[in-house]
Amino acid sequence: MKRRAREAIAGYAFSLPILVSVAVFTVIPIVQAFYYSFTDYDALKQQIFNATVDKVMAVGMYLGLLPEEVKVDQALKSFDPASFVESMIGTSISKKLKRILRKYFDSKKLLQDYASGRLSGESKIGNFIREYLKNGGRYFEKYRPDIIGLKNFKWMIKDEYFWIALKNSFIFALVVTPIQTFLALILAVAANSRVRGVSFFKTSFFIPAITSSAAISMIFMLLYSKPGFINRTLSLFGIQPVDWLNNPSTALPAVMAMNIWTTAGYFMVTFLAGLQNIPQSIIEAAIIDGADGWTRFWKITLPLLKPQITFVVTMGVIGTLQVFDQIYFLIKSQENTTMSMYIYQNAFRYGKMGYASALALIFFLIILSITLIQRKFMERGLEAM
Amino acid sequence: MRSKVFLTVILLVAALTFSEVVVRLGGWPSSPVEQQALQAAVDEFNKEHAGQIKIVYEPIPGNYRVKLTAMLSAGNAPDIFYLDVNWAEEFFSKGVIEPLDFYIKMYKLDLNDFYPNLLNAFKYKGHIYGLPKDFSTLVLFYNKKMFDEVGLPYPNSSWTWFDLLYAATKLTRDTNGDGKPDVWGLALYPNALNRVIPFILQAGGEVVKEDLSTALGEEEAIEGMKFYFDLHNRWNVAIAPSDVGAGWLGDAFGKQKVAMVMSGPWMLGFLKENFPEVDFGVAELPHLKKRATMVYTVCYAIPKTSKHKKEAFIAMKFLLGKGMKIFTEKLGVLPSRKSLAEKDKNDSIKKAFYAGVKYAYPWKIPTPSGISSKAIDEINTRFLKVWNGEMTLDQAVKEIIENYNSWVR
Repeated sequence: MKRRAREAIAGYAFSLPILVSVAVFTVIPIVQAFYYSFTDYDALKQQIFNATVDKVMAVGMYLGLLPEEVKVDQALKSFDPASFVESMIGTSISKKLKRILRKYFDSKKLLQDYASGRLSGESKIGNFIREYLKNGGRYFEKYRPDIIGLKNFKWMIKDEYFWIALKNSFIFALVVTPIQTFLALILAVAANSRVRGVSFFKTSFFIPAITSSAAISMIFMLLYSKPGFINRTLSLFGIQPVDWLNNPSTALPAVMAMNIWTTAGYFMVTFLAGLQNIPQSIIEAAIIDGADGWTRFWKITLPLLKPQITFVVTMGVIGTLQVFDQIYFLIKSQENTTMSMYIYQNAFRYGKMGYASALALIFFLIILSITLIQRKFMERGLEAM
Repeated sequence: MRSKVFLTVILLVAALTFSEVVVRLGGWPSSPVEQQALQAAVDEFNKEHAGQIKIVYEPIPGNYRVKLTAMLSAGNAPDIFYLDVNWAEEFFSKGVIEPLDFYIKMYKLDLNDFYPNLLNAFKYKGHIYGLPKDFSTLVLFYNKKMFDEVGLPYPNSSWTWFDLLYAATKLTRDTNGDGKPDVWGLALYPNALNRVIPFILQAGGEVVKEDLSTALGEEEAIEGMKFYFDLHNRWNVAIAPSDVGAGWLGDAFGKQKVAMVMSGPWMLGFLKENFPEVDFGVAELPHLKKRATMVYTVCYAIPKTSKHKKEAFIAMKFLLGKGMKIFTEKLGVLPSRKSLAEKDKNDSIKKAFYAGVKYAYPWKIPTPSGISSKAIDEINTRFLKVWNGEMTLDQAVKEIIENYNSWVR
């Protein structure tokens, strides 16, 4: 018993680093993104109550009067604590916070302190507000985004580019996954045969998978350019040059072709491992029974590769739906944007972190359900084979 | 004995470091030369203020805006950092940047020495949030040899749109006798609002109206856009850089595939480095009803979360004074202060850039929310379609007017 406990502790201790990192970098962000998708979260506002202000300066800037010029009773009439706080923070605050300020902020005391010179020093904005707040101070401890319910999701329905991005992601997955799986399978079968120089081919098929996406994107940018290699080859057949990446109708197919090229080699390795697991005895038995190569492939190789096919198709669909880097490097028009790119743009370029979280949530649900359906479907389909 | 000396040294070092206020300076280095130039300015400051304030320069390569957003929201942004005029307003509107009005008065920084256009670019709701460190205006670069070949006089500051079109038509030629042109008058970006705006302004149009709603639907603005796209679609005298396998305008110009481009001072170093054989000149952009060009500028700003704002401002003041002198001289960029521009008075190339800054439009789209990135992306997407002939300009303008408000919310 004691030994088992010790073993368990050791086990957990060994897996602790990965557990912690998964929790910190995956689980917590997912939970937060879920929460943010119902808010108007804005990353830049995160520190609004943590910024430091010089108290005298803050009041002076708002009033436009020096302490000795202030007549408290008169100044009090036009003093609005909500707009004072907004001017100090430098951005707008929610209606709820404004209401609390107007109700509980001790403007008189602040003006008296300012006029009498009792106000001094620097302070965090949040602490400064709470000093003069009779009630509701907890709302000024840290930034809390407004809960806006389903607004982000409603906006999505009206957002033209959400649909375009979703459509592009689906087209990408539907075109790339079957081709890359098929190609990977062919490459694997070829690489598994006993031909001279097979390891050279294996290596060259696999190289695209380990090359950095940025480097590959740069190479393809040159290949696809108007006076590039591809257009020059096509011109031999009298085809007019096409500006593949700058033309919105050809840009996405061009990136798809490149994606297939980079991923096929990677999945080939998976198939290769599967192929090498097929016992030679079964194949020999089939040969004795008189099965030709084609029949052996259909009746033995393919069914025995079932787990690998399931894996490759599942990973392929997830990978293609999430494609980001190649889109980021090569796609220029909004028309060709995909979901992950659109999420990124909203989060970091358009300042709409809340909306981006909502997009991510919906996209996650879509990928999840597709994967589940696919598993059901694939298992049945392959059993029938 | 030895340990005592050692201890004293440690204490001394500790005392020195703790008495010094460290001001972190962040910015994107566009080249190793820029990084060295800024470091030289920083070193000079640190020498002058030894024991009081120390600037630590932290270059932020890669995706600067994303990194800065993350740093600001985590509360550990540098005490001074670069902001590009194009998206600075979004940061101003979110309350992360300290207004500088008070510090400017307190430390007596003379604003009259700055070019007013650049200074105004960083004003938001009546406050100054940033101070310009340098600038780049667009001018017309022309290839002297190609002009000589067709016997045209070089462009000058009196050029209008008609001169531009006439020259471009002459310069677009078939040199190898296959019946198709292989050199062109101009290279333009198909989808860059910032390059179309000078034409809109030259035609007497505006980018936004008084109330910050879009003015792109006005007659003059449409006239400007129409001229820009007509150069490609109707007159066939302009191409996109990618049409000749060039990555950008400078590349197309350097390869001598086009005789003219409208570009900025970054071309100077690029051409000298990569295409020293190209004999070029520069002139102010052509005009129609008005003179206009685009100015790109970057400011220094201080975040509200900084713990040492006063020290940061002292450092910033240096970087805008003596520091700017060191920085701009080493790097060859254009200083934002008139007094420092004096030295370039007789530089025939730089003259055009300085002339432009007086009537230039800073590259930003003011919006009520401070957010313009989405509107710019959407407009550029439509511009590309117009360029490719997949959409008429009228249709594009109609869509822009209809949707503009939802893009800037």
